[in-house]
Amino acid sequence: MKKTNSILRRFSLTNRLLTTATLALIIALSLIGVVMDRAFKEKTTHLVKERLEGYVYALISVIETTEDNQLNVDDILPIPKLTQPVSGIYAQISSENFNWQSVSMFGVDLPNPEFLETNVTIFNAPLKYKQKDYFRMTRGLAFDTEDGEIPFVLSVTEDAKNYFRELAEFEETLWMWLLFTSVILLGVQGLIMNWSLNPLKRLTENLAELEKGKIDKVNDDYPPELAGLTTNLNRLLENERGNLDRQRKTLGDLAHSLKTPLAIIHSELENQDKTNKVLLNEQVASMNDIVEYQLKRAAVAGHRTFTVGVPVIDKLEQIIRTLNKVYRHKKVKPHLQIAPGAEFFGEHGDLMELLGNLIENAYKWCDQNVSVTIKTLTLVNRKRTGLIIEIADDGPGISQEKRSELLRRGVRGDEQVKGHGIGLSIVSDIVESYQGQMEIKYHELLKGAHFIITLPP
Amino acid sequence: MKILLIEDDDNLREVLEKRLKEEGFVVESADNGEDGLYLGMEFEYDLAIIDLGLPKVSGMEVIQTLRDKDQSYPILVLTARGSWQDKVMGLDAGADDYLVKPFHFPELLARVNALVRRSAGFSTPELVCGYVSLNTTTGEVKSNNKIVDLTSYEYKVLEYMMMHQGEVVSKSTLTEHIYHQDYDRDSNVIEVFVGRLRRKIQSKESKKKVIETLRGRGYRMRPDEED
Repeated sequence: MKKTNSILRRFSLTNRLLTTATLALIIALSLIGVVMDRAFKEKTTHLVKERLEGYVYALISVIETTEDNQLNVDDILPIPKLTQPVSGIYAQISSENFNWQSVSMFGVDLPNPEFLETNVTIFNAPLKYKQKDYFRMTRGLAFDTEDGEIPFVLSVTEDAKNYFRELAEFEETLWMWLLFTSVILLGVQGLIMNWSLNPLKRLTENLAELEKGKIDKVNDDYPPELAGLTTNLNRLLENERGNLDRQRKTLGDLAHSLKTPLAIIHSELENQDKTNKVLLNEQVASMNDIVEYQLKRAAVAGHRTFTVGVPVIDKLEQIIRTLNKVYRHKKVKPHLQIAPGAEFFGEHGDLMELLGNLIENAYKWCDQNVSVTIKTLTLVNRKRTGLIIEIADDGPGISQEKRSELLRRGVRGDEQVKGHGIGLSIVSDIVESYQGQMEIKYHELLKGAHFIITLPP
Repeated sequence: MKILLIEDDDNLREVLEKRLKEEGFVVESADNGEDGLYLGMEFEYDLAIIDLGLPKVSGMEVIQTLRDKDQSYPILVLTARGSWQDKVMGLDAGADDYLVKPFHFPELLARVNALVRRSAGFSTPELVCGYVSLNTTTGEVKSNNKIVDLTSYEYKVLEYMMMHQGEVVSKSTLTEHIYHQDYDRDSNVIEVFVGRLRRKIQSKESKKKVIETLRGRGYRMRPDEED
């Protein structure tokens, strides 16, 4: 069972469409054929019945009684076919002591009509007799005479040969046309399928080229059903490349930035007279900072195309709880304003580093008040929401030149601004990796530093 | 002040133990979570320094267990990773502060002093009891605004007494928090220290003794109430 399932799952899309469409076509056309055939038969039988009924009434008009109360049939018959031998229409009248057959029945072997009560009619469609098919209408009748009633039976029989020939002809034509229609429909269906599956084929080829390294992203001219997939695929590829670049850069930066302090330590150790402990200490501290900064940078996951949203409020509350404990002697008053349901689409570690470092700075520098405002950012065409994070304190603030210095830094680990630690550098890196922006301002109300981070969806 | 140090790195543990002792702390240490937890449960400490990555029982578990068993002394967490997730987890488990490795010893010392002070209810480095003040950062002791010169043992006795103002501190408690395990514990020495300390800081204008002796129970230091 499982095996069949997996085979069915691997069944190609073309085959799936072709199989189901063909099956549906066969079923539909067969049904049409059967229904039409049946309707034709019913209609023709009905016509035969009407015709025979007409003959019966016509014949009744030429039956009369003789003076001795015997039945008699007029020689001049209203139906010419009854007078031509083997014409295919035959009439029979029979009573207790009277039997009449039309001229046409000469040499034709037909069973005698069965006896019927007066005014009872039966229609045999068809009547089989000696390997031949007939339609027969039989009616029970009676003549009123002075001596009483004379009951008799009148039957008109039609050879069904013509009927079956017509039917065969009709069926042949019908099935031929249906077959023709099927062929045309299958052809059209093939064309439709080819046309609609073409983008998938193109995508497969695109992916093969991508794998071979001939192209670095898939084309963007796909129909809307696939555009979602291809756009996301391209974004994923871009992220992947971005991450790789970042990791390569981090590694390079780390190695390069360690070289300078290492060189200083090296030459200082070779100094025969007296090693400068302060200098060595400085260099070791600097190496320590570099390693810590680059390690944290390497841990930044960065923007992801597919992630589950992290509820911002949870992480924020954890950080505030932690900081309230660590800075409990300061009795900081945190003012939090969070958009309900705000979510961060990325690694939750990144969110914690971002909020943790910024809010800890605010706790460190503030007099008493720290304000955290988080709003959501909605962009057209994007299903996810971004975030606008604002963190302010009532501390001394940051001077104009220091602000641009803080925002300019980044690139290399050894270009960090001293005194602001590694925290802000990491924040700046995280913001950058999420294609976001960071602004430093003066907070009018709290009269201190005001950080505004915008993270697009 | 008596400190419990749980750190599995032998080098770091030995260095910290040595330097903390130099700073006048009584230090007991363990190199794994299990032993650390035993010490933490059995003995009275003024502070614990716990590394998060420990063999046998993790630092996080040690902290949680200590807090579950109502051990309320402050805990300083040492962590190598220093990510906010680690910090939050450590503090949520019951720690009071964290320090990311590697750190400078003065930084650790500052944190330790601040935590001990805070747990005694002081928010500034200056401990005050009536006319006596002690600055835990500078180590300066003043009586009636005049600097008093104390020996390191006298200073330790005074610091402990000032942190436990209003409480009766027994001689054995004082001995435990001031002496290292391997020292000879002679309670007479404490009497001598307290006597000398009292003479050095006692204000002549005040009739009441700055450090009271409660016979058979110990000592008590409380602010001199104005008559």
